[in-house]
Amino acid sequence: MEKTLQVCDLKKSYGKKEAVKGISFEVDRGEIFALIGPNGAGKTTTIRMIATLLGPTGGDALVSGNSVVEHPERVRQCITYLPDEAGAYKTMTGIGYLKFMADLFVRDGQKAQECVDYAVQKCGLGDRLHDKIGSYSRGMIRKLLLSRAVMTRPDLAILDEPTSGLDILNALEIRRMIKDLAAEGMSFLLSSHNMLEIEYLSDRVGIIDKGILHVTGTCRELKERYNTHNLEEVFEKAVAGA
Amino acid sequence: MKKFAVLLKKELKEMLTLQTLFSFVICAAAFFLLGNFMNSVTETAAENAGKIALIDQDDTPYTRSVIDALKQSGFTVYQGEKTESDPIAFAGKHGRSSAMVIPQGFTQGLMADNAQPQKIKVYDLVTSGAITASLGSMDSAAVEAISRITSDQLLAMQGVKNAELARDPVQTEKYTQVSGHTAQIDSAEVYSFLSSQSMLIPIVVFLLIVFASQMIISAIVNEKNDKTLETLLSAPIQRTSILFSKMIAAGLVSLVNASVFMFGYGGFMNQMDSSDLKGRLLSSLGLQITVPQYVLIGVQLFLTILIALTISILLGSLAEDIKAAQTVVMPVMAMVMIPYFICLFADVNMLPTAAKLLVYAIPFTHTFMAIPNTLFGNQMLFFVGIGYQLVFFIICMVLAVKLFSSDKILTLKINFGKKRAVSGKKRTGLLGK
Repeated sequence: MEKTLQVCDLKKSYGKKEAVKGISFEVDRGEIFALIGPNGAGKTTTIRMIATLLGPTGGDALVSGNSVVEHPERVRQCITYLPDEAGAYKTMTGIGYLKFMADLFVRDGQKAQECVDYAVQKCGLGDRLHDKIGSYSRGMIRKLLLSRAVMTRPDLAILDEPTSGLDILNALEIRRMIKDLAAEGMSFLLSSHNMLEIEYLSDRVGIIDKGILHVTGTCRELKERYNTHNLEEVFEKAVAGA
Repeated sequence: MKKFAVLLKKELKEMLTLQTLFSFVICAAAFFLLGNFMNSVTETAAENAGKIALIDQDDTPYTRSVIDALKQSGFTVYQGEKTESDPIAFAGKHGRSSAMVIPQGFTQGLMADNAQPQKIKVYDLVTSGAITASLGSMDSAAVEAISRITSDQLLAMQGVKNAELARDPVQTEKYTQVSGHTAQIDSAEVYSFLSSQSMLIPIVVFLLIVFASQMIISAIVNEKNDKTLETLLSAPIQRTSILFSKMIAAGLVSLVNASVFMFGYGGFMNQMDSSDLKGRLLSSLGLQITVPQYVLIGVQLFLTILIALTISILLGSLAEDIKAAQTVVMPVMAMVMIPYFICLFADVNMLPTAAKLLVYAIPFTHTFMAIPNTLFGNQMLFFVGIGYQLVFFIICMVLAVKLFSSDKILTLKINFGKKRAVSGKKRTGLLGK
């Protein structure tokens, strides 16, 4: 299977504090991989290192064969990143924002327009795209940002808490969108607190706590391995070393 | 380059809003209005100086002749009854805030064998502490006129033919020298011109620096808060493009602001401008800024704005939110306020060497000193100032580029007294948030 992401012994320290203690995992092409763990577990730090926002203090991660340490600028060509609780420029219109971002990712004007058209179709905001983002609801902003994150058809879309703070219908719509895009071959690296969402969305999960990746596998594999009914119990047993 | 242009366009749109333009226009209009107001207050004061509310309690042929002479000298005299008990109330009836009273016995005291100087009582109404409030209440010209008329009459009574010569046998012709140029002008007028320059230009510079700082700090902090900065930093664009687009956009907006301010300031000075003769005399003293000098001062002002922007970018990167941003801008304020007040009350070049070096180490001092140094021919100091500011800017810029090129732009922060446990996310259960 073609690997979109290979994380090898990735470490990050802030002074004496080790936030991520040498974690390794892989994400295949068209796969949805989710990192689960409580706040402060090291999920966001790991994601930010792969998104080239933070420099690792050890190890490396390869995105489509490009090292985040050696060639972060090449990695940025292959990824898009959607931070947790991200906003957008309130004075821009939705369509203006999509055009602005497309122009930053794609040099060719024609291709940039194709990206915008794709995002317009994916976000489903219709005429509201011509309104200022400041007037959008949280769900609308999230849909806009998600469509922005996938419009360039990156090799790897990194989504930190993709449905946080959304109502049931909006969250469901976004999960379906992610599933469809993965089926088209796009790889996803997610983090989430929502176990139901993880079970529904992800092909494989990694359980992370205190900067250590304890175990990876499909939801079914993990439940069978730890003889539990849900992922929360898997987490409990995995971090306890059972 | 295309991506940089896209970023620059976005930054300009964000910074140059209708609200920003509105505030520029308001500031320029404020200068115009201030000039108009000061002009009208000065004109009113000059007009009122010729109007006197006077109560002649002595009421003798002599005091009546003095009052007639006063009227002939061009004064409008509102004369009250000698029984008038409230001079201020009487003055108020005639729109004046001061009144003069010639007390009973005034003539007798002057005409007696052992004549003594006599007193005229002057009553002033104080209603506010404003400088302009005192302009309309001064009756010094009228008192001087009465004194002159009285002394002429006394000298005439004593048989002096040329009373004017006896009264003022020595007259002064005042000259002022500035940087080797000499002109026949009172140094008090030169001081007055220079103080008007040293009062207002620093205010314009101060406002510009504070505006530019707050604009860039808000831009950085808002991007960090909304996490749009993270999106930009993970996009395939040069990190320096993000930094330079913000710098150039803020610099351009500040330039527009500076132009509007200077236009307003020009309007203010035109309203306040003195006579052509005085202008020519000041010019002959070299106290006139030439076009090339204006250009150099403009270059220095732009350099000052760039320094303020780079320092603000470095400080803004430390702030977590808008509240913290208001705190981090304080060092910039202090760096502006210290030289501003020193330049207002003292000549930096006359300070002891250690103090002078310390004040000149603040890059903004050179901007406040630009006009005095230009006017007084201290070209060397002016160019050393520009050179120092350029070096200071380059150092700050290198630091800003390093900051944007590393992950410190996201990790560096000051909590300003917040407890660590509160600033960080609390550790919650898997389902909790």
